[in-house]
Amino acid sequence: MAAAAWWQAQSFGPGSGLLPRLASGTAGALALAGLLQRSPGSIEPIPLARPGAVLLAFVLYGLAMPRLGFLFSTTLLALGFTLGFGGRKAWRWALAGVAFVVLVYIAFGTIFYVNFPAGIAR
Amino acid sequence: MFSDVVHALFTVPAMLSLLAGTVVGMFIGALPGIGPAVGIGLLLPLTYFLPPADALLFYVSLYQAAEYGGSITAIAVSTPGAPNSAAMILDGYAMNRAGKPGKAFAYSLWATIFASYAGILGLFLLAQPIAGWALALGPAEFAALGVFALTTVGTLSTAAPVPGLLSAALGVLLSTLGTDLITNTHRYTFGQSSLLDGVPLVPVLVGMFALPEVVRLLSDPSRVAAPNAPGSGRVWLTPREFLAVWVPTVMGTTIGFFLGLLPGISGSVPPWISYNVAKSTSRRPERFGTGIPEGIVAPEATNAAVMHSTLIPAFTLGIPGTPTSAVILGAMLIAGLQPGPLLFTQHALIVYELFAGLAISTAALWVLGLCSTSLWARASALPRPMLATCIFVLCVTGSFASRSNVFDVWLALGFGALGYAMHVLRFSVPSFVLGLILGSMIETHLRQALIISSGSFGVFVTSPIALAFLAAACLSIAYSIWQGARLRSLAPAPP
Repeated sequence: MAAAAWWQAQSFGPGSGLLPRLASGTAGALALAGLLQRSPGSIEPIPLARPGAVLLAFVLYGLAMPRLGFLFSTTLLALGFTLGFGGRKAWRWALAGVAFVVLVYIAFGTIFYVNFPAGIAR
Repeated sequence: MFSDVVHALFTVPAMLSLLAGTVVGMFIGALPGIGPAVGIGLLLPLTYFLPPADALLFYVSLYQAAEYGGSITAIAVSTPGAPNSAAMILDGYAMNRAGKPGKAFAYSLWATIFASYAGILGLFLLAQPIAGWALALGPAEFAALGVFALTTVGTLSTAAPVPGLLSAALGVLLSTLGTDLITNTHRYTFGQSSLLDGVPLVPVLVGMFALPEVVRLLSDPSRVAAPNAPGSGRVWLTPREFLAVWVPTVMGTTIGFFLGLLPGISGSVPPWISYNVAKSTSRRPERFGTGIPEGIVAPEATNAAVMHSTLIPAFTLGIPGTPTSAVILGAMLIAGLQPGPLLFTQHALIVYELFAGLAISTAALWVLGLCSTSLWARASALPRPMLATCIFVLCVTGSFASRSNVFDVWLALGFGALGYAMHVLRFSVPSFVLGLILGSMIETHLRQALIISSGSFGVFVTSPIALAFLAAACLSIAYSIWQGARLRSLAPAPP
């Protein structure tokens, strides 16, 4: 990444490219130093299933939000988090989560005039 | 003059302005993505309806309370209300999760109150003499100061300086993204119009700090907050606890007060510098980030002190040090007050009424903090999925609200994934964020210095102040390498 950024910075000119070249050069040198310092087995195996599921939910939310609207998509995600991970009292927390989404939506919309994407509510 | 100030201040409209400013400021500060600058900007029309002094009392008390309010959500739900509260997450949230939310809020509140009164005293005594000194620093000195601040992040990342410095370098690289205002060159924008103004700070901050916590809360069943100890919601410090954090509080206040005087040093930078200084001077640096009081009071005191000292160049020179002080200057101009040296002669009564009003506002903030923050402490007792939902909703709302742009929500989600990956791979998220914040400041001043010196880098050596900062930067790197080697040699050998 540092090499790509350094190569791209060549086209920025002397002034605009000065800091991008310095930063990408430094990052590249430090990345090499880090690779040389790394001892075998220093990276532990990472469990990916649950974090992967949550990160996938982020991606789906990002895709859905402009189409479904802020309120609907955020409510769906809140339901997903609370029902999917909530255990025995999941419904109680699901209701609380939905109430929180609506409260935040109303507070930001009415007090600070934030114009959230309406999506299907339009 | 004293009796005139007292007479002007102790009136019903002035007192109501101070109290309303404090209450509204605390609320606005706790909302991610809003912040004091936006809050005052939204309420700027009040200037047309209130007398100038009352309107300004409302704004400065709002500014002060919002700076504290930003730390409330940082400690309670790991979501900074404003960028300058991000440093509070490291130890504040950790102490909260360790079952001591009341103590975390108490340390934060105590540091704010102490630094606020010290800052007000500084406003009265040092406003005019110090403003002249700050003007003596030129672009070369500012650039060198930025480099020094950046290199100190090597010690922010636990035992290894390389990941910390690499994270900082990547943060600086990211700060160069967007349109270069001097040559109008588009850098790393990939044709995206939303990136022409650079990377917005709010989505990056909530993405890097708060969203990884959502992933961790939902994906790690063992990540359960320690049960709150009896009385842990009580926002109070014992005299012993109070004395134990005396030194980092005074140090944080001093750092904040002097950095706040320097126009161009963003309000979000000084708390990180203070955190790092507190860590490097501590007898237990390895415990920073695990929820220790020094890690809370140092950045919080700096945050509060910056707010006060940034008013000095704003009032005496007309140079705003932070976006919020720029909005307050705008309010002064609307009210017919011209900031600058003449303000202290032509409108001395209003200026000193503002300074004295801040003292009353601080007392109100203290009472309000004692009463209300214990409610926030209960947030930590929520089950993991509910807490994760609250954090997520605040994150996406704050990211969207800052510019009303869906692209910012995507940015926050992307940086959330990056922040989680950096956490897993043991890179330093604070170093990355500090690089991003400092990058634009370093670039601006570096290029100004080079233009003035006709392209000669010698300007950084001929200026004694710049040279001192650069020497300190080299020492900082050498120290972090030495410390890393020492810690590695002390670690037990693998079997």
